[in-house]
Amino acid sequence: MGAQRQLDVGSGANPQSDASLGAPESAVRMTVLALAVALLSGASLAYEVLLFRLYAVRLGQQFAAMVIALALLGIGAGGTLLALFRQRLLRNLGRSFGLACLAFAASVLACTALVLSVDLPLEAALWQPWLFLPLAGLVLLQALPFLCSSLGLGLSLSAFTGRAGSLYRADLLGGGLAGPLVFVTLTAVPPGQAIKASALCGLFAGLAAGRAMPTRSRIFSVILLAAVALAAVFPSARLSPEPSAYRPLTRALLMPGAEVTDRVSGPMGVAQRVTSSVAPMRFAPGLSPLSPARPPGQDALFLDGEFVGALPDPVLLGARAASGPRGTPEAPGEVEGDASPDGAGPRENLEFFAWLPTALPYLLLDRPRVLAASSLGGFSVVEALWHGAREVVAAEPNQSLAALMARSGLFADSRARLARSQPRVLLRAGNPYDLIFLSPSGVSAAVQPLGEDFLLTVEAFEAYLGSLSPQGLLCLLTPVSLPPRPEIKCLATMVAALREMGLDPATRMAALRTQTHFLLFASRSPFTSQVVAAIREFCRERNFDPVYYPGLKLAETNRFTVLPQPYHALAARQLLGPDAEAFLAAQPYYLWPATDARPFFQRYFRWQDLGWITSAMGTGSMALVEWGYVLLVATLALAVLAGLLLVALPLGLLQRAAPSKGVWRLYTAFVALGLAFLFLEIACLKMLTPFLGHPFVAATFTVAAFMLFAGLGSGMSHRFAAKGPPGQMRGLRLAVAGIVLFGLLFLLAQALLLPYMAVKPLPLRATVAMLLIAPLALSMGLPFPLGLALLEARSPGRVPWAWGLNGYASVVSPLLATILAVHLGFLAVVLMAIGLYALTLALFTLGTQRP
Amino acid sequence: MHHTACSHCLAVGAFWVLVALGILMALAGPGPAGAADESEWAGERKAMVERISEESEDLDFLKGNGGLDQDVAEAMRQVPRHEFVPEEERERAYEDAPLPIGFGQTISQPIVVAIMTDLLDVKPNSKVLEIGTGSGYQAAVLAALGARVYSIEIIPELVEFARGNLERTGYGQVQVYQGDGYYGLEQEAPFDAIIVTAAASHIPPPLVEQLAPGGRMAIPVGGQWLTQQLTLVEKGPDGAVTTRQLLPVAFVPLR
Repeated sequence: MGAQRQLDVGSGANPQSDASLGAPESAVRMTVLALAVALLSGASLAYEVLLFRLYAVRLGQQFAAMVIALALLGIGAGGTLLALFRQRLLRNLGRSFGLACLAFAASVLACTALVLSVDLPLEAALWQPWLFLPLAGLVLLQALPFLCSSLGLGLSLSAFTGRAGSLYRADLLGGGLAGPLVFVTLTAVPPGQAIKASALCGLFAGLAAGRAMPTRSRIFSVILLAAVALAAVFPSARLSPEPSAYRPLTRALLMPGAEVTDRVSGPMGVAQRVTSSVAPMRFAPGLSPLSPARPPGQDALFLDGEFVGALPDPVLLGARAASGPRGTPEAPGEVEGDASPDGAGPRENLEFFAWLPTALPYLLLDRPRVLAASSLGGFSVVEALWHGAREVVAAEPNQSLAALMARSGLFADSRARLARSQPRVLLRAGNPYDLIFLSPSGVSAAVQPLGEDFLLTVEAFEAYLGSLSPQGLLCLLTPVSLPPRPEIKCLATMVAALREMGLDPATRMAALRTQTHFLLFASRSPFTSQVVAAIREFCRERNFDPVYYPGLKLAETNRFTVLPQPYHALAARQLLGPDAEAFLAAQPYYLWPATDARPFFQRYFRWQDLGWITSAMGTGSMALVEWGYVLLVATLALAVLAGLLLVALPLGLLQRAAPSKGVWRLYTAFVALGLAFLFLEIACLKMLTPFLGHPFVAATFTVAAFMLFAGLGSGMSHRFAAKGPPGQMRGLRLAVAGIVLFGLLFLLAQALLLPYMAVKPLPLRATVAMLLIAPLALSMGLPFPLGLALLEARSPGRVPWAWGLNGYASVVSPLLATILAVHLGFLAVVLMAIGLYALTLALFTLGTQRP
Repeated sequence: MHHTACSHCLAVGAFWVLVALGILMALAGPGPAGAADESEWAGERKAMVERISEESEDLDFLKGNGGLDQDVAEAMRQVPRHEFVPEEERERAYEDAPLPIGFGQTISQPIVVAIMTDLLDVKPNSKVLEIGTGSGYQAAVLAALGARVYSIEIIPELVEFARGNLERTGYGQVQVYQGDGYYGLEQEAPFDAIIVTAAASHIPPPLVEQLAPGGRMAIPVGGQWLTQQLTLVEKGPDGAVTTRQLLPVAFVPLR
């Protein structure tokens, strides 16, 4: 997407008109051609977004991101093709553009259907490297549509560089509108049908281009119309993603009697509810083995094929016994009834909630007001209601999942409320919560493997703690891992947050461990001796191992679920002691707390352990490797390699003549521009996410702002371009000065102004965000077209180089930006982008100096 | 109802076994399925048990503290594993790998069967409950140790498949029930040992209840679609329950 925008901006600004190669400019209906460009650009961007949706369901989001990042190299390859066959293709622009559109539509339908018909155990590729071959084939197939659209757009812009302004505006507008349109479309139709719509959109682009030309080929128009008819009747079922046989949903459906009983498809994913009367799900995270009550059968909830939680029947809440204080289990003998192999029995009731680790905060709080920041598919809501919560607010930012939960009857209880937003937004509302429940392994982790997660940062923990009532509790539940990873990171983050607030964590924190789960909770107020006694008794009654509470002795730990060492308890002691930093530095995993600047809670990988990972290839230790990060690095490596093969090498062969002295500097400048543009766009988007409250909202407003204002900026470039190289250099200097100034202003505002505006309504926040981006993006729109003008003046005929290299860098840029952000933070990525723009200016200055 | 053990040594072993078998099959032409006689199968079984014994030497949590119990090894030498897999999988029956048995289920990797059986410390006449009969192989191994075996399977077709396999191989004394194993088999409780051959998100309390004092339960516990920890649950003579997590495994879900 970003790469495409860069390509278009660049070609549009080429001052050397190639109209002689195509139809005479005056005879072409430019408005219609602009419409064609907008349609093709929109179709291509829509396809990119939709492809992610399809793959997320089919393969999971990690592989979806990887495949699409690599497929986007098709954009660079399109530039290569254009450079190779430019003269021939421009002989009949209408037909060439139409053919590109036809090929785009055909490859969208055929490649997608073909790819969806193949099922690969992609995880196995990590220890069966030969599986990378079919994976590479998959990527190549998916790169075809991007190649075709890139070729078509590049053709139009190359043919009419004199009118490139209107064409690239159309391009930007088409791409800019496509995102929101796809978002809206996916709320009404499934992704498969939307894919067809993108193919049709591409064909209409071809028809429009034909209409724009002075001489029209009727036969070709008929072919395109026939293609439209064929695309319209293409079976949508072939484009409907079914989760791979290796995904959790597919495996769940293999259970006897299991069926999908409800389904919501939307732009944020496909949420499905699975019911089985024969072998129902019994979700009970961390249930004590001593529980006399048995979890009743529940429906399982899946998002894009991943398990996200379960939904106990809210009707069972009516059977809640009035006797006994909350969180207090009944002794085994007091529970009536029995169970049988067929699953029926009075012991199957919600009393099991009292035997979960999460019963503890309810034992310590009286009728709390609860924020279920991780609703676990509704499980946490039913749990809170069963424990007698005064009010429970379930935060579910995923609209598909929220819709599924909303129609489950869960919120019929007047005490329960569904908030379709990120929990951090809810904290701004004012009313303090008594209990905030969060599960780091909940939806966010499932949906965003190694994605940024602003719910699990030091700043987020501070916000949670800050919005609690004085005795309120922040409670985190995560599965136990061996060696312990998320548990220790939760501990480290909590300690850091409490210390940031000037509070002593040693007296305000407690943690315990079950056979399967780790529970951590903290308060702003120190725990009293009564609270400590209650924790101790709670653990003893349920066979839970205390990990930490004020005054806990090491001998009291690791008694029920015996580990070789009391790892968790030892870690808690270390983190609360003076050598916490040394302890974290000595761990085999990266366990430092995540922050808003580096919001990657799921990052555990350390480069020091690369040797160990290599040795794990082909062995059973693969489960201990953090694949999110490894896949990201592998994708970047593959993108670099494939880019060299698809873009740089062919272009190098094309330009066999030794480049004149200084041109290499200009080529480097175009690579730097490609990297810098998306570095800035991505870093700004991520930095604005907590402010705007939701990744989708942030992406919609930020990307739209960047496209709109960069387009306007590029449109202004002709004022400088018309004045020859001195004017072009002046424009470039002004643009880079603007980027430095407005980039730094953005950082300043983001740090100082935005936190104070966080409570304002979304429309105001979105406006502020767009206003912050506007001058920056406007400046960013100038360097590429001005650079092309300078290059053309310095060394005519080198534009394909600049085009290809820039497109290639634009594909690599988002991957590199993410890796840099993981290690250095988004602030550093912004500063690097600013530095790259400054470098670009220096390179252009040196590269255009005549000896 | 089983799947793969994935400790370092097991997987390395399995990998090389697969490679070796692949080479052997390629060189030898038709595999043993066609004209295999019992001595041929017995030879494969012997080789399988030797491999398992060798690979188990590093597992210090086993009863023998660093090696497979000889009784378990003998039981696995006796039970004809090829009789417990579908016809089309027979030639792979003695590979150290899980194999599909239909209905989305698998027969466990032999080394997982060996380890879990070893953990139970079964004596002749021990009363053992198995959750997840599958094709009946694990139950047959337990029966070969002299245990009184009760087994529950939720998929009716597999119940019939297992009963047929057990009858045919001389282990018809195994009681196979159709039902939801989560609840165990209260009417036959208590059990000296319980073995769960499907992944559970938590240790089902009914099974803990049905474990006799001094009894042992082997169960893979953890995320149902992720790697689980093979867990040993021990109930002391006083009824106190302790658990130990032993090694990562991957099983199909129990629910």
